[in-house]
Amino acid sequence: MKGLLKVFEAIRPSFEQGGKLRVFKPVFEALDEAFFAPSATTVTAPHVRDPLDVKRFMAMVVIALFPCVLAAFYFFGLRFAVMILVSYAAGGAVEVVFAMVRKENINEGFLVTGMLFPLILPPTLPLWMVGLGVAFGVFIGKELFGGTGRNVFNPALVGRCFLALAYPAKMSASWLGPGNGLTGRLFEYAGASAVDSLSSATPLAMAKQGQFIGLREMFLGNISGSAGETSAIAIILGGVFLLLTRVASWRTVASILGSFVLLAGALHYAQPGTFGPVLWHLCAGGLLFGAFFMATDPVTSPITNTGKWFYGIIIGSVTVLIRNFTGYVEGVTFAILLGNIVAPILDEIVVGVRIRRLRSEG
Amino acid sequence: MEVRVKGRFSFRGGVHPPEKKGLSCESSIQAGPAVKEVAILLSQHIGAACRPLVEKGAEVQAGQKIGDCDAFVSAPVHSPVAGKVKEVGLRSHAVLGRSPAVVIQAEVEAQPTRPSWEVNGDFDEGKYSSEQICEAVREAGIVGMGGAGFPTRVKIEPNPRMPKETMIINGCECEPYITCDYRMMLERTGQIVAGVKLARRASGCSRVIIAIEDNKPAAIEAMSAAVRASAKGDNIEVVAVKTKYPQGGERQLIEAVLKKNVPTGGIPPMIGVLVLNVATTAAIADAVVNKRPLTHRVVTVSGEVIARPGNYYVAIGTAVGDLMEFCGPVTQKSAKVVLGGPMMGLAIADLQMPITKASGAITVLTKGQIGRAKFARRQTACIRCGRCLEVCPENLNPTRIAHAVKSNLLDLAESYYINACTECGCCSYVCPANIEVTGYIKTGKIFLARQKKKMPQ
Amino acid sequence: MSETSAWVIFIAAIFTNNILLTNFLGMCSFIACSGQIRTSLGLGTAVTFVLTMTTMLNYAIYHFVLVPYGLGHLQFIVFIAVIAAFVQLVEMFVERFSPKLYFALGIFLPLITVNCAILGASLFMIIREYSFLQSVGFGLGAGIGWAVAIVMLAGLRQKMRYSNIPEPFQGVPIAMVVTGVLAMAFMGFAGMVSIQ
Repeated sequence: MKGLLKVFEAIRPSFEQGGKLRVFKPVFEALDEAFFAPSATTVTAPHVRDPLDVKRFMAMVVIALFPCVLAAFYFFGLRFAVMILVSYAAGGAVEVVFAMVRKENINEGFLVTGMLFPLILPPTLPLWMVGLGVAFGVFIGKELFGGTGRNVFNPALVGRCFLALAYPAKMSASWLGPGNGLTGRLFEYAGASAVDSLSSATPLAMAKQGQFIGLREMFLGNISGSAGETSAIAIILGGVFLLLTRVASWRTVASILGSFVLLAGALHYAQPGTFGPVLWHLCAGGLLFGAFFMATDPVTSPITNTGKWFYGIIIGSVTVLIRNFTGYVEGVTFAILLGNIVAPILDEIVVGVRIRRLRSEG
Repeated sequence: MEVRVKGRFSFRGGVHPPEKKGLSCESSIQAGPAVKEVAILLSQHIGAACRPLVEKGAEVQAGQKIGDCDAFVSAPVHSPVAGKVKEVGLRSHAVLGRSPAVVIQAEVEAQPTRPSWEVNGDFDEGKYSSEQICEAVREAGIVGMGGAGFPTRVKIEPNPRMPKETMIINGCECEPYITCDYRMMLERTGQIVAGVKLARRASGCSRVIIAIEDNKPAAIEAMSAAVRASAKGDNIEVVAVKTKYPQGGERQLIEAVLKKNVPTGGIPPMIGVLVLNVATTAAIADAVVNKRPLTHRVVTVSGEVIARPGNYYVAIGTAVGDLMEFCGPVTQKSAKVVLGGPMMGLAIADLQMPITKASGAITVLTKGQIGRAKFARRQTACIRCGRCLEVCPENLNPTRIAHAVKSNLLDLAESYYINACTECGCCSYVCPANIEVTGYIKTGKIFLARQKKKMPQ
Repeated sequence: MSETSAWVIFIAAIFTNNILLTNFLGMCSFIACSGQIRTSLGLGTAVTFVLTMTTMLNYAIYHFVLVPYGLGHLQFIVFIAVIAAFVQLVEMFVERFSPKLYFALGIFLPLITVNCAILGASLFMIIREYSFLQSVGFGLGAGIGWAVAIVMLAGLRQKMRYSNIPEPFQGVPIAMVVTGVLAMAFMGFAGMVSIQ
C-alpha cells in the first residue's frame, strides 16, 4: 500500500490547479479516497467525529440489496448482470461528465442508484432502454439539481416513471416467468425470446382479471415481476438490515406499510371480491421494495420525524388508490414521486409549528 | 440525602462521544510547572475588558490587583506571583485573537502551591451578609470557571426584578478527557460545599441541587457525604444525571433537573434559576473566607500523546506550551492542541497562549483521533439524513441554518433561531457528510452581529 | 349532459384531469409566483375563489342570457368581461384585508384575469355540457387542483434554494423541468375517475 501511496502522491500535482490533467481531478480524487483515507484536518470545533460517513451509509444500502440481487439472478438469469453493467455505465457516464464540468468530486451516491435501477425494471427490457432510463433519471432527477444531496426526486424512480410513460408497451411486455429448481435461471441468459405470455403475466396484472396467485409463491418470489421486487423474503431481509443499521428510517417504513395495510384492509373488508387480501397485496409488486429502499432515501424524504409519518401515510394510501382505482396495475412509482413532491411542504409545516412553539416560549 | 446513583434525569438530544476520562481521572491534583513568567490577559471574562493598573517596570505582589474595570459586567484580574511587570502588550487570546495582557516576570521561580485549608462540616455562612459575599467575589475577580467566564458577582447578586429560587451546581463535566472538576469534587469537597452555602446566602436561593453525571460515582458519593455531614445542608440535594454530552450546558442541565425551559434568548434568572460550576464555588469560598483572589486554577492536561496526563494546579497566565512540556514529552506526532475539550474547545496555533481563568483543559489530539474516515478535505453535500436535528439539544434545524449561512441568507438563518444555538457541536459530530455545521452557524452568528452593528468589522 | 356526479368531477379535476398538470393551463403565474409557499397559498386561494365564482356566473349568463338570445358566439368576450370584473372585486378585497399578500402578489393578482385556467374552465364547462352542480364541482376542483400544484412547486422551489443548480437552469428552466416531473407523477392517477 505504501508504494501505491507514493505513486499517488507523485502524480497528484498533475491533477492540481495548472496541472495537465486538471480536468480529471474528480476521478483522481475518487480513486484516492477509495484506496486511502482522506487526509485533511477539520477546521473548527468539534474536533472529533462520529465514525459513520456517507460512504458507509451507501455501502450499507448496497449490502442490503444483495439478497434481492441474488434473487434476481436466480429467477431471471444472467441477463440481469448485463442490465446492472449497462446501468452503471450509462448513469456513471452522466455522473462523471457532470463532476468534471462542475469541478466537484464524484459522489458515492451513484453506487446505490446504479444498483437500484435494474432491480425495478422488467427483466427482459431492451438494454438500450435500461441505459436511456438511468441516464434520464440521473440527469433530470439528480444532476440538474446539483448532484447528490441536492435532488428533490428519487433519480431511479424518475427514470422508471419516464420509461413507464414513454414506452408503456415494452414495459408491460417484458416480463419473464421465474426460474425454478435448484439453480433456477442462474446459468441462463433469458432474453426477449424467452418471454412467454402465459407464464410471464405479473400477479398484479392477473389480479385485474380477477386471478390471485397463491401467497407462498408471492412471498418466496416464484412469480413474474420486476427483477428485484418479486421475492418478499429477500426484500425483507435486506430491509430489516437497513433498519437495524439505522440507515433507513423506521418511521417511513412503518407508516407506509401501516397505512397501506389499513386502507387495503378496509377495502378488502368492504368488497372482498374486487379487492385482494391485504397480505397478498403487501407481497405484490414493488410495495415492499419501494417502502424499504426507495422511499427511505434520506435526500428526498422529509427531514423531520413527524414529516416522515405523514409522508409514509401519503405514499401508502396513494399506492392503494392507484392499484385499485386506476388503469395502472402498480402505483408505487407514482406514489413515491408524489411523496417526494410533498416532502418539503411537510417539513415546512412541522418546522413552522416548532418555531411557533419556540416563539410562544420565549 | 438519598443518592440516586443511576442518573435518571436527562434532556432531549445530545450525543455520546467516547469519554476518555481514564487517562487523568485517577491522578490527584498536583502542582503545575514552576512559574517564570505569566501573561495575565485583560479580557478573561464576558463583559468589558479591564484596563491595566500597573505599568512596565512596576513591582507587584502576589495577589495584587493589576487590572480593573468600572463597568457592571466585568471582573478585575490579579497577579499570581510577586515580581516585576515586564510589559503591557498583546498576547494571543483564544476567542479574540489578540488581547492586551500584563506580562509579569516572577521574582522567584517556584511551583504553584496551594495554601492548605480545611473546611469542616460546621462552616457557617451566616457570618457573612449577602452584600459582603458579593463584594468579596467581585474583588477576587471570580468568573465562571466552567468555560464561559461570566463575572460571578453579577450572577449571584440578588436582583429584585428576577428573584432566584433554585441554584444548580454544575458538576457534570460532560466533555471527553476533562477531569478537573471531578478531582475538585473528590479533593476539595469541603471547600466546594462551603462555597455552595455562601452562594446560596448571597443569592437568596431556597433550593440547591448539585448535579453530577452518573459516570462519576465516587464524586457523587463524596459530595453527598459532605452535604450530609455539614450543618445547614438540609436543602442541598445531590442528584445524578444521565451521562450525555452536553449535559453540562446550563440550559440542558435546567431542562434535565428541573424539567423547565429557559426562554430562547433569555437567561436562567428569568425562570428563577442560577447555575454555577463547582470550581467557581470553591473559588467563592476561598475569596470570602480567606480573602484570596482568583489567581490559580486546576487544569486537566490530557490526550493519548501526553506522557504524564493529569490534573495540575497552575498559575493563571502560564503558557500552554510550558504546561505541556511539564507533562512530559509528547510521545507521538500530534495534530491539534485544543484549549478545552474536543467538542467545544478551540484549537490554538500559538503555544505561548496563556491559561485564563476559564480554561479548564488542554487536550492534545492525534490525526487518528480527529477522525480517520471523517477527516475529509472536502465536505460532501448534505444528504438530509436528519441526524443533526435528532441530536440538537436546543431542538433546532442545524442543517437548514448552516445552509442558509452558506448561501448568505442571514435573515433566513435568524428566522430559524440561529442565535439560540449554544455551539455545543453535536450536529457536526454526527454529520455523515462531514459538513462543518457548527462552524457555519458560528460564522453566521458573527456575520449577523456585524450586520446589526453589534460587533466590530 | 353527462351522468357523472358532481363529486366525481370534483375529484377528477384535482387529480386525474388537473387543469395545470394535465391540461397545462395557467402556467405563467404558476411559474412566476411559486417562489414561496405562503405567496403560492395566497394566490392559489384567490384563483380557486375566482374560478368557482366565475364558473357559476358564466354558467348562469350563458344559459339564461346568451343562449336564449342566440348570442352564444359572444361567449369568449362575455366570459372574459365577467372574469375581469370579478378579479377586480377580489383585488379590492385582498388589498383591504391582507395588504401583505397584496404586495407579495404584485402584478399577478390582476393577471389572474388572463390566467388561461380561468377562461379554460368556463369553456370546458360549456363544451362538456355540465349542469350547474357539475359546473360548481368542476370549478371548485379545478381551482383546488391548480392551488395544489402551485403549492407543491413552491415547496420544491424552496427546497431547491439550497441546491447547486447549473447557471443556465436557474430560475424558470428548472421550474419547468420540475413541473414536467410533477406532471409525470400525476399521470399516475389516470383512469382513476373519468369526467368525459
